[in-house]
Amino acid sequence: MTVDVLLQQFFNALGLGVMYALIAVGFTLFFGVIEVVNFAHGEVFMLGAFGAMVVGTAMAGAGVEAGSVTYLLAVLAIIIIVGALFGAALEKFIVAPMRGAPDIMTLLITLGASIVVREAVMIFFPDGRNPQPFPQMIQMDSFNIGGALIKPETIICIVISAILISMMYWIIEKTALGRYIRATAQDRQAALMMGVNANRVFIITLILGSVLGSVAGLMNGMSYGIIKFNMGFAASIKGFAAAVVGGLGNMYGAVVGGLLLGFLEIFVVSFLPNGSSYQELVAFLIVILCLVFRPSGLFGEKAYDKV
Amino acid sequence: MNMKLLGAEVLLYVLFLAFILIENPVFVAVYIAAIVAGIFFAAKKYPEKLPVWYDLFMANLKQVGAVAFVLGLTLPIIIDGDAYWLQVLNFAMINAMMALGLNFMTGRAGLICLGYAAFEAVGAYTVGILTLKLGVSFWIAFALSGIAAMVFGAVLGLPALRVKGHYLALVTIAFGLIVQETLLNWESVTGGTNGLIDIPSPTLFGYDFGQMLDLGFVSMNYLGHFYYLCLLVLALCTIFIFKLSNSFFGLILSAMREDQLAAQCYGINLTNYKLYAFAIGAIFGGFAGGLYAAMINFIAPENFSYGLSVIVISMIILGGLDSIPGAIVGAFFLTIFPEKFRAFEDYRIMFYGLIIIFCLIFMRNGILPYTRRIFMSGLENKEAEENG
Repeated sequence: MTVDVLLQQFFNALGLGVMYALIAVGFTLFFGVIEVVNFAHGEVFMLGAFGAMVVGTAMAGAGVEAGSVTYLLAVLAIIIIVGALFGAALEKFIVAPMRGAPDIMTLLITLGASIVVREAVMIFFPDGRNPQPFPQMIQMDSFNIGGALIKPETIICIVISAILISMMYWIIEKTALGRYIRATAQDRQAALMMGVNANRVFIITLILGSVLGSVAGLMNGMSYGIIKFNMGFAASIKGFAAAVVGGLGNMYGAVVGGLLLGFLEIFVVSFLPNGSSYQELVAFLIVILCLVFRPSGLFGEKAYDKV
Repeated sequence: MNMKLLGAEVLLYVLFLAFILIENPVFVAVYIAAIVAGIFFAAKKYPEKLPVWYDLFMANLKQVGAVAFVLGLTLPIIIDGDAYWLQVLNFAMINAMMALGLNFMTGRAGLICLGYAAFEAVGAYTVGILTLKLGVSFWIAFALSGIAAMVFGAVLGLPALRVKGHYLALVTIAFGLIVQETLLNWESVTGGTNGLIDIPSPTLFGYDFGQMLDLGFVSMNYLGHFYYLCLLVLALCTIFIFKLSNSFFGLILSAMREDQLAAQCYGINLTNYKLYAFAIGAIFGGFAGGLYAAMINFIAPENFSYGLSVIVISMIILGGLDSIPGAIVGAFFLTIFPEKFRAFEDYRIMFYGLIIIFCLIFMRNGILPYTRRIFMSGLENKEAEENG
């Protein structure tokens, strides 16, 4: 085992980990603020990737060079639009009508929504049943770091995630909006009495989380070069798992959980014999272990029931 | 015997028969729309009548069930042993068993399960492996399929004991996927992707279930045997679930669903009852799988996917959570209805998703809502029975 292989795997794991972290942050935000486990979160991941693909292909068709500023801006715009629209629609049509219903029903309705969106893409997208090639977003040579060849996409993914997560930190901790969000998460009733517009907080939370999810979808497309209508299912399971490992409701826990999951997965695939057949099971294994030994997650507070 | 009720039920049976016999998808849509509109206007015009009828049905579930069973016996004769519809009805009954089991877990005990198909897989592979590879009699394998599913239910219950609703959803999805992965990868036993082929038909005292069923005036292919077998098993399952739900045990599970903390304060051992709920709910999935394997003769891992778990969930949501007749009706409707629109096969899964959303937003209690049981102490109960 040489240093360059280790380094290469380190970057792969980091790239995968930040993607899971972005999805997990969405899950944990929704749970912390709206008290909803959003099973449709995987679908915004898929829609983001499809949106980026459509725009990327259209731009290439219009003669805009991949990797140019216009190209990247257009992709970025569609990612944000898809995420924001999805989040707003989810709040309006799915989450808001279920306010006050038992948890189990809210969970089931997001499950229904995820199926409808997934199947709609499969049916209505041209040739949606089959995997779609994802256009090359940037044209750059691989970086050579200490003998390891690192794909530029991996570096870009890591940088984008670092920026987004810092931005989320800034929004949540430093702005007035973040104070409203934290207040609503802590005690919805009290926040309402202090004049926080809870409905607006809910919709903004869903939009923020969904945009992160849709960026994660773009990153997935860039890293693997191929996307499919059902890619959201595995992503949502893993993002949820990462959020649970970090402690549902804890944003920084979700980031750590995502990274942990990414590193464990890459470790199993590359260093265990015949590891790739177990890749999908890693997430479940650590979730089950985590739930058995630390049900509130690595960084979660111990939950007490209110009577 | 309540004759009014009998008449109403025969009428419903005729409506159901018409639903099966109408072939043209357009007519089916019109027919369903007409029935829905009819119920809607009846409810508008006679707002006091419909609840009375509903309560009458719910109060006499024993009679309703018995009549439905007898009418069910005549169904294959009326459809003249049509193989296609026998197959669909068999699937409907197998799905109804799964819906009953999931309804017990999720509707009654409030433990969400998104991997219910795994129990059917366990049952199906138990029957498949035992009868095909070890030559065990179907009837023993069938009994074991329920037991195997029960063991898996208890195993799934173990990590679930310490966690609440949301986490449970994740654990059960994971469970479903792990079972499917195992079936795919453990090729020496499960046959991997190819599955198990040529599972033998059951025989009873030398009578082979794989042959034609000839009743003298009507003959049907081997599916006729399975129709009556499924009907019998479904009836037994329903009686069992019904008795269990109306026992003190069922009441404890209801209490647990409504408020875990309050139930605990009344001295209910949540750990044990959660395990019981998982184990008992899983049995029915196992039986459903056992019948499925013997009927289809061929099982493969993709038959027991996450999608199937979602379909079963949509059935109990449509019927009404915690409603036993609702689970059966939901399973029948959601199995038969898509068969009418086979030209739109692609839209099938989306249809189940839409049903879930529609029901949860517009009729959260389903089409046959669960009726709260009226509390009566033992003495009052006896008096009520004596007074009729």
